[in-house]
Amino acid sequence: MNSHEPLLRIQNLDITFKPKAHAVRSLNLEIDKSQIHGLVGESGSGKSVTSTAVIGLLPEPPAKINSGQIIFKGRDILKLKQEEKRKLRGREIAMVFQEPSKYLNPSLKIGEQIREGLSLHLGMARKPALERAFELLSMVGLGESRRVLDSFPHELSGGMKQRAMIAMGIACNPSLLIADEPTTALDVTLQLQILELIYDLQNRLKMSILFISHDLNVVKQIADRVSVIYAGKIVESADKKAIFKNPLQPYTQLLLLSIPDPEKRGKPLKAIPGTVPDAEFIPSGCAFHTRCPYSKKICAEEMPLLKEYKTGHFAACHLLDGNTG
Amino acid sequence: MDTILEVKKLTKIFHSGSLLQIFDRNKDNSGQNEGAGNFTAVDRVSFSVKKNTVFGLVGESGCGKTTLARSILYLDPPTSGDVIIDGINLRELSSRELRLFRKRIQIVFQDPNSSLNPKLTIKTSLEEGLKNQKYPQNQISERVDELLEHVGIPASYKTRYPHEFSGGQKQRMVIARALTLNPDFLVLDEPVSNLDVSIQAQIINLLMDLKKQFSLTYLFISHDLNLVSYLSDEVGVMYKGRIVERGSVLDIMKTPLHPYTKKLLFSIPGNTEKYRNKEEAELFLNANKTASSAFSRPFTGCPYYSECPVREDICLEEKPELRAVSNKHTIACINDIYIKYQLKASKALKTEKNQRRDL
Repeated sequence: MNSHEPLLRIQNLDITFKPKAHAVRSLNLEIDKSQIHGLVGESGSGKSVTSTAVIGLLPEPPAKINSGQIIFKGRDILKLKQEEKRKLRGREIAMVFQEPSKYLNPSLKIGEQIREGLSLHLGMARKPALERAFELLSMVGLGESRRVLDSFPHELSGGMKQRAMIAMGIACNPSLLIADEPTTALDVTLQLQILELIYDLQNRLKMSILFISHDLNVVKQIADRVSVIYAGKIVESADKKAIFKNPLQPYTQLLLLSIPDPEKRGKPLKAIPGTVPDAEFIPSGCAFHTRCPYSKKICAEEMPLLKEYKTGHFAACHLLDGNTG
Repeated sequence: MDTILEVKKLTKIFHSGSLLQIFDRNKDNSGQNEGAGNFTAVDRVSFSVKKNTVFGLVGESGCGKTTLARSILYLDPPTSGDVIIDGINLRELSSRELRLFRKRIQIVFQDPNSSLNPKLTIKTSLEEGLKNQKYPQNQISERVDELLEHVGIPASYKTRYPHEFSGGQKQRMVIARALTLNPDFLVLDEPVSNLDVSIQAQIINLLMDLKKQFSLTYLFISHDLNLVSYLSDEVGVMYKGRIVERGSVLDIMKTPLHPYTKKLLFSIPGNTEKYRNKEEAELFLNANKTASSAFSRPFTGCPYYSECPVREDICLEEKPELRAVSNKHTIACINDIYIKYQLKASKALKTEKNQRRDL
C-alpha cells in the first residue's frame, strides 16, 4: 500500500431502500490514517446508512447497494464474504453508537461484554481477557475500582455506559472507530468529557475516527477534517479550518449562520427555508436547489459534481463553476 | 414594566414511599418531607418574569426544569409555594376557574409527535381549545385559518393529519394551538430540541416574531445555554431542583459566578477557546471527573459540594439560599472569598478590554 492511500475510501456509493427511497447517492469520502473525520448532516441525510455500510451491517434487503466501493486497507468491504466481514468488525473497524443503553446487552456484566470481543478476535483466555477489560475501563476513566467490571449496564449512569461502550470499541485496537452521534444523548457537561476522552484516545492509539454528528459545534471541537452530507450526497469536504472559516457550498454557509449564539442577540437568525427532503422525493439536479437562495436554472437540471476548488477543499455547487444561467 | 409571573418558594415533592399521604395544603411542608421515599424535584424556587420578556431556564436533564414548568401551570400542582400570574394566585382558584384561566397560560412541549393527537386532523386539534372555551361558533373556522397563517402553514393543509407533516411543521402547529385563545404567557419546554439544525432557526425566528406581534411573555426552558442566552432577557440556572444563579443575560454570560454556571458555560463546544482562560476552564470542568453521581449520597450541605472546585468546609453546613451580589444578579453560594475574587477578576477583564479598545 502506498503512503498516499487513505485508510478508507468510499467511491460512488449508492444505496436505495425498497421501494424507492434513495438514501445514499454516489457518495465519495476519504479518511486518512490517524484522522478524526467529522461527518455532519441532518436527520435522514444518510449519515448512519453510510456508516453501517462501512462496518458491513447494512441489512440487505431492504437496503440495496446499487454501485460503489468501500476500500478499507486495499480491500473492498462490499465484496467480502460474511465470514471475512465478521473478522473485520470489532477487530479492524469498531463502532460506538448514540444510545449506549440500546447497544449494551442488559443481561451481561460490562466486563463479560468487553471480554467477549477480546476472546473472539484475539483468542485471549478468560482471565487475561478480563484483566485486559479492566485495563480498558481504566483507559476510559472507569478504573477507580473493579466495580464497573462487575456491573450490569442498568447500574451505570448514561455517561458511564457511553465510556464502557468506548472501551468496548477500542478493545481490539481497531484502525477505524466509527462514532455515530456518541454524545447526542448526553448532557452538555458529560458531552465535553466524552469528547475529550475520544480525543485523548485517538492521540494515544493513533486510530482514525469517523465522527458522525448533526451538531456543527461538536464537530468543530473534535474533527481534523469535515464533510457535510445533504440528501445522501457529500456537498462539501475540507479541513476543519477551511470549512468553518471559508465554507464554499451555500448549504454549509447557511447551516453555520443558523446556529444561535449569544452574539447574534436581537437579530433574527438566518434560517434555511423549507424542510430536509424526504429520501423518496429528492429534488432533481442539486438536491438543495429548492431551498437555496442563490439557485439558478442549471441547479434544477444537473447534479453538481464534487470538485476540488482549493487544495483539499472539495465542494459540489454549480455556482462555484461560474454558472449564472 | 409589570411583573406577569411570580413564583414564590415553589416546591414539588414526589412521594414514592407510601401509597397515600395527606398534607395540609396551606402549610409549608418543605424541609419536613425529606424522609425516605420522598424526592424533592423542585426545591423552593422563586423568580419573577416581567411582561414581554423572555425568562430562560437552563439546566441538565433531571434537574427539575420540566417539573417546575408543569407546577407553574398547575398541571402538577406544587407541594408548597405560590404561583401568581397577573396578581392572581393560582392556588386560590377552584378547578373550574383554573381551567378557564388556562387560556391565558399555555405550554409548548418538546416533542410535537406526542403532543398532537395522531387521529385528529389539524383543524380538529386547533378547534378543540376554542370550543372548550366557548369561542363564538361562527368564528371558529376563521380563527383556525388565521392561526395557521400566523405560523406559516397554508390554511388548505388543515384537513390533514399530523403524520403528513414534518417535525418542524408539527411544531408550528403546536405553537398555533397554544396561541388559539390569545394567551399572555407561554411556557416553551425545549421547543426546538427535537428538530433538525436547519429547522431550529426557523422556529426560533417564528417564536420571536410571534412574541413581538402578540406581546407575549415566554418562559423558555432549554439545556442549551447558547440558545437561551441568544433569546432570553433573564436567565435562571437550575441544578438539582434549585435555581443556583439568576441574573440578566449579560450577568450570566459576562460574569457567571456560580461554579456550576461556569461549568455549563465552559462545556459548550467551542467555548473554551472563546473564554480563553484555559486554566480557569480546566478548574471548573475537571473539578470532579472521577466522582460520579451514581456513588454519591445525599447530605445537608450545598448540593454542588461534591463537584465544586472552590468548596470550603462551611459549604457542608447548610443549603445556600439565593442572595444578591449586584442589582439583579443572585447566586446560591456562600463562599464569599471566591465570589469577591470572581467579581474582581471580571472587573479587571473589563478594564483590560476597555484599555485595549482605547489603544
